[in-house]
Amino acid sequence: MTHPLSIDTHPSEAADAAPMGWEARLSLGFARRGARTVLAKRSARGPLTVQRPFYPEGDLCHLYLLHPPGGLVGGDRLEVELDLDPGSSAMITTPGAAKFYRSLGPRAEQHQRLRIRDAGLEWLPQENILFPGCNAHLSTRVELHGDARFIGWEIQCLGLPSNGERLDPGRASLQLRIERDGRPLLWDRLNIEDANDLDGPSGLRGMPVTATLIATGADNDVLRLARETLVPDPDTLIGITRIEDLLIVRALGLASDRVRNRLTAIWAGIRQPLLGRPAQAPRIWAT
Amino acid sequence: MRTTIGIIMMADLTLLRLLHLASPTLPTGAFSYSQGIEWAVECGWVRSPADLEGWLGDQLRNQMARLDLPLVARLHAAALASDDCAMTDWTDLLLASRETRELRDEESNRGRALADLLVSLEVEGAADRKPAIARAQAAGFAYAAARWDIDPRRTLLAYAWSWLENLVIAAVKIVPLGQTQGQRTLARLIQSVPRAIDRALAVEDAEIGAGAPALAIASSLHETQYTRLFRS
Repeated sequence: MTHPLSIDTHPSEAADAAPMGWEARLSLGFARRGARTVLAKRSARGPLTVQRPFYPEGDLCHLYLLHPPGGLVGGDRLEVELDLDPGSSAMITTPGAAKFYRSLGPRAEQHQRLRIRDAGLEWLPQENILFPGCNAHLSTRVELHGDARFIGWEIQCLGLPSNGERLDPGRASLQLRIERDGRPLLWDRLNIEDANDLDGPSGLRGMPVTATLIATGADNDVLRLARETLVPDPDTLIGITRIEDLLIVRALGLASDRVRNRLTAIWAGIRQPLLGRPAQAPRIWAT
Repeated sequence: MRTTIGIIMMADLTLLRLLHLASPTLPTGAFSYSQGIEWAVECGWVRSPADLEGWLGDQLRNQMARLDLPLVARLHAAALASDDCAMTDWTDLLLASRETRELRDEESNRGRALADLLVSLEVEGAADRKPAIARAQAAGFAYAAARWDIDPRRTLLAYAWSWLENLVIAAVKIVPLGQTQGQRTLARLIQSVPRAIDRALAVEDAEIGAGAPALAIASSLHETQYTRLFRS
């Protein structure tokens, strides 16, 4: 039997059979040095890179992750690995959306593994845009160890809603796994195989943007603070729940920027109680 | 002759046990959960028998076929093999897949009640394994089916039937629908069950998993719904 904990690991049969595109791999290690967190380890292969860390909030290491400017097509594979050592804290954002273009068959893959050991990570990338006709396999695995703190989100834009283009045809497997000390806390997986999966009454209900925000260390006050940020918006549905210390926000919407604004408001509302830092939106979001 | 009669009687007993396991009268509190239907009705997503058929048919095609039933099949196999480690790992994954506090509480509350019952019924090994099978309703269900010699396909049929019947009855009360309308909806929905089971039995380990964003949102918002009769 395959151990269920190995379910989200990387190799894929489809990519093996495909004519290979490029492979990009980025591996980053963060460590505490004196009063700050530094980028202690960095290895990169292929068109995936980071800018220099910067420190607008003192000790916290801010970093922009730069996706390949041309996006991903079938056969391309992108791997991101982050390791946060004890005592370190980082905030990762991206200056632009990650784009997955039309494929003639093979899958485009993006695998992200975020390992946090007694450290804090804010993972706030812009959205993944899945173009009509794409075949994308995206997985994010967050490994919490000890007293790890995490606030992060994943925003998926299916098709090009601003042009009225649906992800039809199109295939996608979107996976999010949160685990603590090796045990799964949350296993979210969205499968899109055909148009039924875009319109399911209990699934996407025909809405093109789906997102999840996760935060650890949440109590009932944090749940209340998160709910207080919500404003009535018929085009953006939000549900917030808390399972043990995990705050889970799920969104369905018509436009990525509106979904992102709602998630940003929640992040701003819970950042102080969870991480002891006042909310200060990264400047790149305003550009 | 005596042996043939013995075999027939065993087969009868297995069928009766299957009916017992799927019965809505099992004292596990199944009737008090709606799995988000109460909010879906409140917000207007489920107003008619057709809406209900769409809501549950979608879950049958997606979550049942890709997540619940494949996991029940694995829990059943783990129980048959007395593989407690596999039982724990698949139960971990099942619980991690329950998307909201209410859905996770439902799974574990019903799990505890079912485990108590299985111990009272003196199901073989249930007392020793009670902590493991009490974690999730699906785990106890699969365990009892395995101990009662119910084969995997029939176990999944019973699981899907009992899930469907329970939620249709909940919807009849909430929407509300007439009893006959409810039964007609149930009769239409069960026609999709064999296909969901075929699909579930073909799912590989690495393919397990199916989220339903609107269901997760409905279930999250149910937590703060002003008037609630149901616990999920």
